[in-house]
Amino acid sequence: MEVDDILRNFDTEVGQRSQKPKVDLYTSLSRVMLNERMAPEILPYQKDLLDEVLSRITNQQQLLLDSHEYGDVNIDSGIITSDYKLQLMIMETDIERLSYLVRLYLRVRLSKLETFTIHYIRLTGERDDTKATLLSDEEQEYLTKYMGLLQSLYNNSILKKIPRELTYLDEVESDISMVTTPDVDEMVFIKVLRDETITIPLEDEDELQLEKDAVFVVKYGLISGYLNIGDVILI
Amino acid sequence: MFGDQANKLVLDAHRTSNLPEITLYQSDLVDDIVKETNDLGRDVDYITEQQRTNPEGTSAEQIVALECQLFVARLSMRRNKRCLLAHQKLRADKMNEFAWLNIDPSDSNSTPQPSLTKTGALGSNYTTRMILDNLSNQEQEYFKQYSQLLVDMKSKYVDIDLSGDLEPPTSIFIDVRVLKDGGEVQTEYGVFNLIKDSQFYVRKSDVERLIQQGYLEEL
Repeated sequence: MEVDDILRNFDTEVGQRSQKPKVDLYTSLSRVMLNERMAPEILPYQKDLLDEVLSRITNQQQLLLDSHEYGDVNIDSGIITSDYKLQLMIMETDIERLSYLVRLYLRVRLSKLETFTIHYIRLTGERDDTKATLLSDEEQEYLTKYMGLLQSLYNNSILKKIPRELTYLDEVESDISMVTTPDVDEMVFIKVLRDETITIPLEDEDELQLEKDAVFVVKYGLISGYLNIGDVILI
Repeated sequence: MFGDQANKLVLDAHRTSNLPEITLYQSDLVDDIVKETNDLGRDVDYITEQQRTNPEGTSAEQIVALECQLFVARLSMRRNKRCLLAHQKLRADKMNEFAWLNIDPSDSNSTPQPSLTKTGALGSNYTTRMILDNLSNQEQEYFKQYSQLLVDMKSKYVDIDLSGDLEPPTSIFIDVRVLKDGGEVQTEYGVFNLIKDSQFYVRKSDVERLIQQGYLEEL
């Protein structure tokens, strides 16, 4: 019985959701999304998490479709209670919320790529290990193509018409570089997750003590290392 | 004076950045600036040529004067270039914003787009209107290719609907009011007709496009 199998699946899925792993996935996705949203620079792409979430969304959507079909077929036979529809609604709402988080995450990353295009082209071009983890394959492709588009727009409308020595896009002129880079001195709100206190040395021999569960406003550059290993989160 | 034209262009760009639409491409102004830049380039060539061929016959004062002239010309050229690029980049960014909305650009001034109801996530200066005739040829080409890039990107995340609403979802079903007539719409739950001022209770994911295109308004 295929449909029954699916329903049994559905039941276990619903059961799982109230337990720990599902909560963790959701929380970590929210965290990842918020980190990305608040950080001035692009953070390493969370491949494992995203793959997991994406495949679950696909599965749930398929399950939802099948369940709807099952409901429609058996609507007159009395097997279907009104609870059944409600369950499906709850499931769908949940999928919507997950997709929303993923959507926001990906869109924020794309918008950063568009703002700092040349900077990230350079960054991903020079070091292979950053290239592997910073962006997903899709994002890398997007970045390259976008740069191409921008370049040809500049060339066609301006650069090919002006003297040749002016055609560079990455000049440094009176100490101001043409390439915009993320501002790592931006102030961010953080929350500390690590149990032990983190001590960060500041200028003029001051120290900053980050205690667990405390909230601070600090320059992004100071804590970016701890952010990447998950000791602090941005809020 | 050198740079006055470029200044105009930057002011125009600044004004545009606060508008929900893209203004007419200032091709005359851009051409003027390009011309000025090229003239300056020739000046620079001429002066350097003179310095090279005639290093002695000039007094120290003249040399200083030439150096200054050279310096100003080079600076102005670079300034012009930066202004041109900044202007172009701003327009490109606005085209990008628009491309994410999934609305067709209108062809000319004669067919005014219905003003869109603002959603909270987009600022008041988010580009919600674009008239193709306002773009230069190169920009139209860029817009076309950028849209294609988006389609490619979206097709990799079909389940997510990348260009969907950036407001957190509240419920699956919503009340909508029809803002303009527009034929029949098929959904999973049946068919409804878009007749102005009628109201429906529909699944949000089914009508998201219609809201973005200005047919429906969420209540």
